[in-house]
Order: sequence, then structure tokens, then C-alpha cells
Amino acid sequence: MVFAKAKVDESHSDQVGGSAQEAIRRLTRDGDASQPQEASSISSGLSIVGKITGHGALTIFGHVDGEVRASSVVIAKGAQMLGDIVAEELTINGHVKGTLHANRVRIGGTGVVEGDIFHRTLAIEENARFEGMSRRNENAIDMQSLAQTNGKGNGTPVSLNPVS
Amino acid sequence: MPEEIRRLARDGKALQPEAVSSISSSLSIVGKIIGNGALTIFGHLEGEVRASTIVIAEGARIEGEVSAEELTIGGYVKGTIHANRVKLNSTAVVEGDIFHRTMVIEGSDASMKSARAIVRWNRNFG
Repeated sequence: MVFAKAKVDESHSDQVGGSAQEAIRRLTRDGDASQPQEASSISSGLSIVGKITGHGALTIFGHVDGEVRASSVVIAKGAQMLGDIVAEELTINGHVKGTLHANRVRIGGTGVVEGDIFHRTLAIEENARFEGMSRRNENAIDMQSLAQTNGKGNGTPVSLNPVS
Repeated sequence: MPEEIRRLARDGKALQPEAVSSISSSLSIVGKIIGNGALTIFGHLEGEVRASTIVIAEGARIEGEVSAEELTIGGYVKGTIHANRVKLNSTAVVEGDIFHRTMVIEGSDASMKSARAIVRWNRNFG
């Protein structure tokens, strides 16, 4: 029992607290912990239709319909994502439909990916679902590969304009 | 360290991310944000935003319609605002109409870089 409990705690901190703690650690190191502005999160009650771009960490618990670009992206358990993702580090525990470009990709046990993955390293945990093609590339997120991907028009179309 | 985490959790920034959303200063969103709960925006948004409680922090920039029950503005907003309770901090700049039930405009600093709100309507829509 004790072992099982410890395991649950571990996986929980991995999915949720891990990124947050990492963000806190980074902010504390930068000496600016009072303004944790570098870490963004989209709560489970929130939906975004459009394009999200920037640096820093982004955790999505809610719904996103559109393109996402950030340094570190976490699609948490229960999150729904429709669109392409470009990130250095990408962790998926929720549902994603779209093309993924990231240096490090990790699909957790609750993760579902429908789409192609361009990556440098890829980890797929047990019980994860991945339907699509994966291709290893030393520079998975350089601009050239992005331009090619966009040019070919594969992946989910992204609405850049607000939907009225 | 645990104290730090606790403080951040209390501020709703790090450890309760399921309930609280935040858009960091390094992030830009073009599109529509709709939902319940609290949302703090430090970054840029071009489009519509709707949530229960919205804080537009100093340095943030919104171009589009803002709807909330409770709205605090310290940044820049260009667009129409609908909210039951509106609070404009001294650093706020609003270009647009504000539809509200109650509104507070905080006193400005000496530089008069104060809340420049153009209020044309005071509509009770509760």
C-alpha cells in the first residue's frame, strides 16, 4: 500500500507539480520569484481559439484550438488540443490532434496523439496512444523544417484570426 | 523553498493551475479566450477574452473586447469592456468604452500616467 501510494504521488508530481516546481526553481534562481510571469497556464475551464506564441513554459489544462509555440509545453491530463505544437520540450498527458515539432517529446500514460511527430528524442509511456508518423530530426524545431511543414500543408489548419 | 511554493500556490500562480490561468509576459495570443475561473494576463492578446475574474497586469496589452464579472486593469486595453466590477489601477490605460455596474479608478502618480478611461456608458446590466 505504501509503495502504491508513493507511486501515485510521484506520477502526480510528474504531471502537474513537476512543471510548476521547475518553473518555481527557475524563477527562484533568477531572483524574481515574486513575479512568476514566465510560466503560463491555461486552466481546465478555459478555451482558446487562435494562436499562442512566445517563450517560457506553458501548461494547458483546458481547450486550445490553434497553433502553440513555446519553449516548454505541457498538455496536461484532461486537456484537449487541436492544432500544431512547436516546442523545445513537449510533454503530453492529454489529447492532441495535430503535428508536433519538438526536440524532446514525451507522451505520458494518459496521452493521446493523433498526428505526426517530428522530434530529436521521443518517449512513449505505456498505455499512451499515438496514431501517426514519427520522424527523428537533429533539429526538429529549426525554422527550415517549420517552413517545409507549413508549405506542405499537412497537419491541422490553424486559424490565425479570432473567430467571431 | 516550501514557503516559496506555498506563497506561489496561494497567489494562484503555480500549484493550482487547474483553476487559475495565467498568460506570461513572454506569451502572445491571437484569438479568442473564453471560459470560467480566474485569468491573469501579463502578455499580449489580440482578440476577445471572457472569464469570471480577469486581471490585466501592468505591462500587459490587450486589443479586443474584454468581458468579465470582475476585472482589474493595470495594463493597456484597447477595446470595449463589459464587467460588473471594474478596477483601474494607476498604471492602467484604457481606450474604449466601459460598461460596468461599479467602477473604481485608482489615483494616479505624479506623472499623470493615470487611468485614461473614456467612459461613455454606465449601464447596470446585472
